Amino acid sequence: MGRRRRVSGLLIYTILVFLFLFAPIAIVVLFSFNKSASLTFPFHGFSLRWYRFVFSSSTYRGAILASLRVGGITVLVVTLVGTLAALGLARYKLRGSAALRSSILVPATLPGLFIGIALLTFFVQVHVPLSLWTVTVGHLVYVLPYFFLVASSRLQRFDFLLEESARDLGAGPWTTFRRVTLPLIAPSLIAGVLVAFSLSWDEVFITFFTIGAQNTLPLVIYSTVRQSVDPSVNAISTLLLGGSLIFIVAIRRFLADVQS
Amino acid sequence: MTEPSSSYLRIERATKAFDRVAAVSDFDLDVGTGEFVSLLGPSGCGKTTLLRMIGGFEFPDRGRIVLDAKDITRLPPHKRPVNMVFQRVTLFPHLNVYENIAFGLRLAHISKAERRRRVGEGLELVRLPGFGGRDVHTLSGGQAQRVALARAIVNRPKVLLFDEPLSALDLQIRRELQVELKEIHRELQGTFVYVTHDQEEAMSMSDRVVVMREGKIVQVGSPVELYRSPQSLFVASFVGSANVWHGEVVSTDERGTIVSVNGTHLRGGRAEESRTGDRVAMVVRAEVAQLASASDAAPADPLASMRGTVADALFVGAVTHYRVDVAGRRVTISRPSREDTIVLAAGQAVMVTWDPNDAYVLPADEMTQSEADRSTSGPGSSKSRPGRRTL
Repeated sequence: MGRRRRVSGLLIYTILVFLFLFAPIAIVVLFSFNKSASLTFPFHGFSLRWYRFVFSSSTYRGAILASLRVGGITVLVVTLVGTLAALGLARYKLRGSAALRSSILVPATLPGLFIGIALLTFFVQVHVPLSLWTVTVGHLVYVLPYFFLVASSRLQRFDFLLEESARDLGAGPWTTFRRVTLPLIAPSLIAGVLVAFSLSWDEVFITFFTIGAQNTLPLVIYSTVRQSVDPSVNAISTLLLGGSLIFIVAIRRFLADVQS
Repeated sequence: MTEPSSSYLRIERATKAFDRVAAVSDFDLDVGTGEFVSLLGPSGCGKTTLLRMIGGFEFPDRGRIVLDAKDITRLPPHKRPVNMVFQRVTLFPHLNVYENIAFGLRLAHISKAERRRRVGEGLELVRLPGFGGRDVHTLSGGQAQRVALARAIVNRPKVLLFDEPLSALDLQIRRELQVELKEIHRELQGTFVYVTHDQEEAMSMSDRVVVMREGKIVQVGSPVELYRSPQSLFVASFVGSANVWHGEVVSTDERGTIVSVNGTHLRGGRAEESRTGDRVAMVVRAEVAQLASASDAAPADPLASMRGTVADALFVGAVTHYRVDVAGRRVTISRPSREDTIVLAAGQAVMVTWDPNDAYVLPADEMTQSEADRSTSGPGSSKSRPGRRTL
């Protein structure tokens, strides 16, 4: 008897926790399909009008393109720099390697607010006009450590004797990288790319301080919510949620491959 | 000492230091075509560094490496006509067995048909026919090293290098592969340079063994030469299972050398260099000493004998290993079991005798002393098999 009561008590607790976690998300998703502009119950029936609105709105389109551009360039640069850093630090065990490794990780431990203010001060001092480029620089600073961590995960256990084997069999340094090293570390690089892009995609703090005239998607959503309560925000949020879920599944897949 | 018929691979005064510590110093070696040469020595003796210099993974600070009349001292690994089999499995995990073996051939732009033929031949040679499609993760340790060997061989290198390729394998697999490697060497008639710290491995496979210590050659010779005429305590004490007695030279004559070991005079072989009073080590191998019941007739040479008591007997089949307490020290003696139908029992009084010519008198060597003393603790004291010493 007592045991059953305890079990059902635990069940109620669990349900409450899950409600707390997921009810707001469910409501956002639900109301993104609402026919009317009202954000309160009752629900007026399904429609895709807010999605149509999002895709036809030049503000949203511009913001999505801006976010894609910032994320794309960030990923490109971070992949190049981060891969080289991870490779170098894994291959050469030098004095100071450990210090170098931790210093690469420092930006990840700093508050975004701090990085944002620091970069703003810096850009103002060197007279660089704020634009998507300054945002991109901010994202590079912020995203690099995360990419480095993910990319390093496999390199830590990479057997560099494989590279010597390839050299021994007639492969020059570049061929060795292309034929042996790259294929073997590719899964962790892809996971790193996905992590880097998703971090850049919904970054707010640093973007807020370094942004120029053209807003990124998170900032557009933020300003929309502040001005008026518009159900289109629900639609765009649901789209973002969907995108994130796909990313998370993909990252997990590639990281699982890294672990194996 | 057997000199190679022709010098194919020549190492001239090669010197290499790491952090100002010499790994290899003023090293000279000539390897003939088709020769199987082993570099044998304890870890840190520079044998791997030397091999890596031949492979192009290290460049000597001084000296030259000449292969087939061409100076290759400064060539990077991918431009040298040599291939290496590494200690660890270094098969490319993202490629299957066929692709691994064909790796070098593809880089050399060998045609597809020729690649297929050579990979097939290679697999045949290492006794793994039909393994081409296998995933390298499914191979056992021994199979993986065979594939690694095939991957090296198919490129038809001028010299094949081996960096302790069998050391990670089980004893039985290692024995099998040693025999196969020797056969493969005979079939290919290639030039092999093989690094190992396992004296039995070096002795059983090689035409010549280069014994190394501290970056230098201690002795070079055929396995039989090293066994029969060791020129130093270092060499004598690890070829076979040896008893080492330190003492001083009392006198020398045509019958041999009298050595005083803790006051007891013992006769050993001739030592031309030795003078009265010299510190020397007398080396009597476990397998050359004789053992007789103490009640038997007096020994032929009282100076080449010692009375003792059997401490224990370890019957291992073909051989019985005895540990005999002689004047406070323990002596290891290995006798073929067929001779001793009755195994001598512990506590039995015995006479240990030897032919003075089998007892090497060699200059004392402080460095080898501790190692040799440890080895006289004999069989049963450690997991290593008696008669086989790994440095």
